[in-house]
Amino acid sequence: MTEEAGFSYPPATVYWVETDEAGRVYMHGMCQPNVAHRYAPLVAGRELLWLMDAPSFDRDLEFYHVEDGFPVSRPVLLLQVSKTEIAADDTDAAVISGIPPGATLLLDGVALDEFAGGSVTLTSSLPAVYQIRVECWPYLPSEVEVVAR
Amino acid sequence: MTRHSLSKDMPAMRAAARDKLELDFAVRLAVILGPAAPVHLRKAMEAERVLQGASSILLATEARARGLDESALARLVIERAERQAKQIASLEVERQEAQVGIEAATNPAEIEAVLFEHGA
Repeated sequence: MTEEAGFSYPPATVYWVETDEAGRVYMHGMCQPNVAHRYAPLVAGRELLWLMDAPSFDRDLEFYHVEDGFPVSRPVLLLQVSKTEIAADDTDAAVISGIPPGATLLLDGVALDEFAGGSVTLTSSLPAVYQIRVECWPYLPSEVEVVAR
Repeated sequence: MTRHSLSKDMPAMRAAARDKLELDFAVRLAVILGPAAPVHLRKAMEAERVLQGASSILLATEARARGLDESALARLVIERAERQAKQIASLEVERQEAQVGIEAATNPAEIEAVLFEHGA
């Protein structure tokens, strides 16, 4: 509450962020504090995080997650890639490392089963361009293109 | 360390390429036929009859409007139909060649090359 000239009144605005258990940010907004109790998450299972200060969303919400009770930018996943061009002889290999445990490794959009994280050695006998994507919340997805010639 | 051999679903890629090819050739065929294709077809059929000695309301009306003899118009219609048939035949040969190329492709780059060669 703020006091001014003998009057007490609530601060003009509080801010809400709809989030889930993992800390994903779905939407946000603001309202007067005296009506905040009327607000509820749009989707069951999510929750509203209330903030006194306006969160700064300069980019799409998918680039943020909630950490320690406040929305922050998702960290960048730094992968090490030995090379992005390999010979299509099923022997020459590209090694991608630095993949966190629990990450999902998608090869041309299809998740590789039983991948435990760490590193992956990729070969190919078929000349083509392959899209490799690593997803591991809360990191931003990381993509690598491997070309087999 | 996980080891994985990358590959592509070539049957699926060939199927997608065939679909793309068919769509592209359908457009090219539509361009050759033009918006008045049903009329041209009907005129060609009646032109054959006219050249065999019959008369056609369709051709006679147009011939009068253009100041032509009905049989002269019939010959023009047949010539046009034959030109169009040659264009369609050429397109069909090209379509079949592209289909063969897609089936013979052993990797995605070869499929792309076939599509590129045929403008798809």
